[in-house]
Amino acid sequence: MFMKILVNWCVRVTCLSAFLILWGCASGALVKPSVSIPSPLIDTFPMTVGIYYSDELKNYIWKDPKERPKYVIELGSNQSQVFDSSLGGLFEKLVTLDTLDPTSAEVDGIFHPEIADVTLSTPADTGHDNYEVLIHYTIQLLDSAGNEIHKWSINGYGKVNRRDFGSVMERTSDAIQQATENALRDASTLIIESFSSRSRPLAVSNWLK
Amino acid sequence: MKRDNFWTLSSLMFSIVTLTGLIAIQGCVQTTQEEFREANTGIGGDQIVAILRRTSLTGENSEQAFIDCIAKKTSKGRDGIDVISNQEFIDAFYPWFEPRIAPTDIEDLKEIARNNKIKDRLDSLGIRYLVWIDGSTTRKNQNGSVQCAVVTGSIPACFGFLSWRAESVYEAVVWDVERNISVGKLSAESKGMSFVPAVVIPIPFIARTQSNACASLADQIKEFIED
Repeated sequence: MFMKILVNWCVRVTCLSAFLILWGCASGALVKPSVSIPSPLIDTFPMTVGIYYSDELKNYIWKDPKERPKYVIELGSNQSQVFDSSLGGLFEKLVTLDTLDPTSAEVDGIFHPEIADVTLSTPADTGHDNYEVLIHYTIQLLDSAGNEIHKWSINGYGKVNRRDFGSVMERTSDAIQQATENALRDASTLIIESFSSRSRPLAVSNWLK
Repeated sequence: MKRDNFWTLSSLMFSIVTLTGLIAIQGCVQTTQEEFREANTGIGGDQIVAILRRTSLTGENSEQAFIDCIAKKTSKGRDGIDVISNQEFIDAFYPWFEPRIAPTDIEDLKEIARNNKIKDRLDSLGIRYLVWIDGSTTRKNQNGSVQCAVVTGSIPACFGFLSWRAESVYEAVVWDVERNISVGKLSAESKGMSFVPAVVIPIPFIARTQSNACASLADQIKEFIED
């Protein structure tokens, strides 16, 4: 009788372990970040600027090109958070434009952001404890006549420690989501920082005058 | 009658599993503390402390769970201090305390605090001290192994011995926002051996170094600030 119950329990434990192991080996993940970026505590420039989100940016989905469990990150829906927060905080008025044509609205300049590249590194890639996401943006600033004033190259970087996402069943999808949200927030910070007096290029300083 | 026996033995097995789980919580941990004081401290009834994670773009950062633990334990108890969490603080001061541009020394803080918007926000929230937490928990010297297999009679069984040394090393640097000075540095270091002997059933004895370091550092922070 005792042996029967012992076997019964052992079978249950084995089944549970197998389930946990299979869960851990589940391949890939679809990550849908939902970043929240606060209003920045900064002084604004007394200007009205426009921002043009291309369809490519609004619908940007990154698909992992590496030979490993496939990860997919939906980035497009988060872009307005990144730029509305940073540029909305930097300038008195931010207008969303449907076209890059400067005559379409009365603005002092137009920002045109694009995602050039995304890199994801997992602990399996690096041997370290971090999930890391790097989002490479190019941001073009055009004056009211449509001429390019400056083009920034900005790398938003986010990382999280794998130990914050479970020790037995690592929640990979949650970890990548958090690292992506950190990268988006970092990009927003970098945009604000690139307008500080010590960082901004001369052409941008002249335009701000 | 048979059914009664089944439930009795089943309850016994459940108790064994539960007991094993409880034993796993235990562990042999040794904790040491250090304190370096640079100035006197004290806190008013309407003032609060910000518990912040020192983050760097390169290298390891402290676990979020540890920062949450410090914030929770510092605010609890009869000698508890009002605390603003890391996330609430960095949101309230966005973008000045983001990992990329956060002040790394007291001179940087002085520079930032010249901005009236930041000064007013610090005053309105009643923030007196910033406590920067740095450090991590690592696993070292892992030895042995536990092998599990199905043996005679289709019974799965595990045999072997696994051990490792866990080290939780954390420090807290305390800045006084009112006087714009660094007032001291505290540290807690917990070390312990964890081991898993397995004779049919593996029984883990896990050294809870991180929670010990958290409790120790939180107590130090409270004593240090209220001194």
